[in-house]
Amino acid sequence: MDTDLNLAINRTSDIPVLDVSGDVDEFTCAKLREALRSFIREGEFRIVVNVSGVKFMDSSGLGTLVGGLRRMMENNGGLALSGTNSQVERILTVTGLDRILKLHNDDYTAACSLRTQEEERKTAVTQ
Amino acid sequence: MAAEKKTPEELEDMLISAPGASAGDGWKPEDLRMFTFLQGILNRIDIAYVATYPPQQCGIATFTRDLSGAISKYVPFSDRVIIAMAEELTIEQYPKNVKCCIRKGDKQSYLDAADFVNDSSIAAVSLQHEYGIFGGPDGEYILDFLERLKKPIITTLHTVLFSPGQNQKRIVQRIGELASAMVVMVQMGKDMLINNYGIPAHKVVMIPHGVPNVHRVNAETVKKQLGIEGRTILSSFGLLSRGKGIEYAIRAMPAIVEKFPDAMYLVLGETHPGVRNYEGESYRQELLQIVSDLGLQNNVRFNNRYLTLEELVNYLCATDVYVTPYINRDQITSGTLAYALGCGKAIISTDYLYAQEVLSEGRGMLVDVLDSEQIGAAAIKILSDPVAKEEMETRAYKYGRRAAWFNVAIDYLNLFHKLCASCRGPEAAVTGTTSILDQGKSN
Repeated sequence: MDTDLNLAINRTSDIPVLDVSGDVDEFTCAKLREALRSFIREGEFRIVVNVSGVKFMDSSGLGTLVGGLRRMMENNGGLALSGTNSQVERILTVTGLDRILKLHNDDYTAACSLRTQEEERKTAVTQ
Repeated sequence: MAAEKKTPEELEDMLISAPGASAGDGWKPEDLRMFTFLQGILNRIDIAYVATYPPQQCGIATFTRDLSGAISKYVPFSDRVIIAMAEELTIEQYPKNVKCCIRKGDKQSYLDAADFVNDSSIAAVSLQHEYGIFGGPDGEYILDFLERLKKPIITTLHTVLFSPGQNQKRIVQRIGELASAMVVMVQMGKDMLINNYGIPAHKVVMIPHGVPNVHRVNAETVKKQLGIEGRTILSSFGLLSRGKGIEYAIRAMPAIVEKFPDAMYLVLGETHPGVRNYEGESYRQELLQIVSDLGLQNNVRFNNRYLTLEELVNYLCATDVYVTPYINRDQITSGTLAYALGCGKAIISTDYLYAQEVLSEGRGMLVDVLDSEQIGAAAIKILSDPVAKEEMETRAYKYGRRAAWFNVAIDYLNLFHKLCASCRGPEAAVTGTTSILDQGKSN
């Protein structure tokens, strides 16, 4: 049984989508963390993380996503989650992290939320 | 009671950083703004756990430590309060989250503990129930605590007797009246509570026994680390007592050794402290005598001490066939069997209630109690067919994975939140709480 974490990057839009599948836990989250950091190194501060393929996620996986969000936000960007995954949704709700890490139905909606956030930020700055 | 102030490093350890993550990858200690931000975002729920607790050595103490620790990782700004069940005339060096002790035979200490909870910020109480850990006939003193309590109670039952005595039945029924929810670890336990004890169905929730988060590794690699390379390993672990039926597994070894001369049966764990107080090491001595009589000195090994989780997982990972030869057919849970599933092992077990359920659908082989011949035949069958063994291991691992502590913790947290949100009294209904086991069936 595959408990590895698999990552794939989709760059068909201006906001890249990181497809995550497998288990995101204490043994595998370093791989996800490194992928998120590599986006920042490359100057990409907005990213959609699609969690449809995630089988299980523990607090380490959750922490890695929050850490990624923090780094994106430090650079005036953001991180949005997409995909249908009741397990991830339940963890976000139970912990309260759904207030900052919303799970959008699809990549397009998640990307739109990031664009909206950026526009709001720009508007706030000009005002 | 106010929340304990935690250092950034403690928070990092609890929520953010994975064990083994390199320094600097997680939260920086100076990143206090984000901590403040998270403190405002993350849900908070202070939970008190009433149970035995390490350094006391028993399955429930280990369970409570693992459960409360797993939950805390998701709610790092909440208090984890342990109310430890302590034996009289003993002193233990408990960790700092043990805030209060109940002396088993001291009725007043049950009332004092309830007052402590009532006067605190504790939102809910998680009670681990097993008749023997509480004082009074059949542990009935725990009712004094529960009747005095004004906070929601979630009781996890570690024993559900099929044919309880009158007083035993009365106690469980009364707990059922006082608790907001009763958790059992197998479906069979749920059915028994509803049908045999008359507990309302809406109060009974099934959440599996948690298991460590283990990724499967090659057994041969671990065997080499443990100095047992080239051996075919069978094992059993846990605190040794007569109910474990280890002698039946030992008596199965001659037949196994005949087919697999390199076979070695590891009996891991020390004698149960309660048993040691009662009869010393006489059971272990009897087992050693059987080994000697059967000439199995090269095929059976004992490790007579309490193993750390890491040691335990290493031994399990090195195991080819795990055996629970227990002789009590009413046993409704087994931490050791759950752990073996979590490590994805081929398992042989006597057909006690818990084993019947968790080893169904090809996740292991069941044998009759007190039957060495069947244990031997099952082991030979498994070891003779590596393909079937691998399939059994994969099915076991898949089941165990869904029961990993990090999943079980979410089940419990979800239950705590729902109960606290829907009520402040004991008559709350639990609805819509499905176990991760059910959710994961489509995976």
